[in-house]
Amino acid sequence: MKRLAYKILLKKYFLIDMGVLLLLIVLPIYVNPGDVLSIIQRAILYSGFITPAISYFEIKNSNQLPFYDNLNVSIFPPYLSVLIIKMLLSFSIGHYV
Amino acid sequence: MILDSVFFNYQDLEVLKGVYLEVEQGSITCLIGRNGSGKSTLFKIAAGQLHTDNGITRFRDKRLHRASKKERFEHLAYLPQKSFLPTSLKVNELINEGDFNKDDIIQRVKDSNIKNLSTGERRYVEILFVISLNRDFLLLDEPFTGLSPILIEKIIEHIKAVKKQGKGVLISDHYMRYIVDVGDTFYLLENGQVKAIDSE
Repeated sequence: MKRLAYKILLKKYFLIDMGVLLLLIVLPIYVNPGDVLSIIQRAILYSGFITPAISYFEIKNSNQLPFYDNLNVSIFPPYLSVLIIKMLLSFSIGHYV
Repeated sequence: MILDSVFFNYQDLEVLKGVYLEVEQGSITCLIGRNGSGKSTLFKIAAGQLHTDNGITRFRDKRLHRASKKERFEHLAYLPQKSFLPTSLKVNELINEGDFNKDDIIQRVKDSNIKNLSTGERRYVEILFVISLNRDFLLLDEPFTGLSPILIEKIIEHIKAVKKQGKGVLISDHYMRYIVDVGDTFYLLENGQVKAIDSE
């Protein structure tokens, strides 16, 4: 059952993340179409912080926290893992590309 | 499970003033009280959903002071008053993953998404989900809300079966008729304090 909870949690995360990334990339490019690579690098990094916050409040406001609590699934470790991956990805883009 | 010396203030209002409540295994404990008397607040504190600096929760010999959800949910399963299952979830997914009772109602709704179920069906699935977790204690906050009398009867059968398995159930609801039938021990929550009342 925990597997199912993580699947739902990550699906929700990535759906929100798509919107956040799109906003963080498209808006700056539209306003100031300069260094696209740097914009993408920053978008990946910032979304690592913004998406978990939106996702957490979405779960809280829709009263779904007890679903994860009942399954003893903490929602923060997956968020933290994705944040670390995004930080590494963002720094890699800056460093190697 | 024992809740001892639980205090809770909401802004300046004292909601709970040193509540003591005991839920025994193999028994159904009913908490009754008026709307706004603090029943759901007490359930939330017991389930670690609300933080309070005062009060102790004991599971057998283990004392828990703070919210510590992880430790609490090793022992208990919690049905909140409001619908809590993710709406994108399919009933089938829950059934396949857990130790679910696959009765005729579940068979009828198994291909539906949670969001497409009626209020009663959704509540029924939620209660079976909580039971399927197989914990020592069940906290059921208004389990009968939105259920038809037929579904309520079915739920009562499930709750009685849980009791027979030696688990403890804490239940609160407005449907006094059903509560009186199902309960072994009764507590009245009034003016922020709990009094044991005679089941007769």
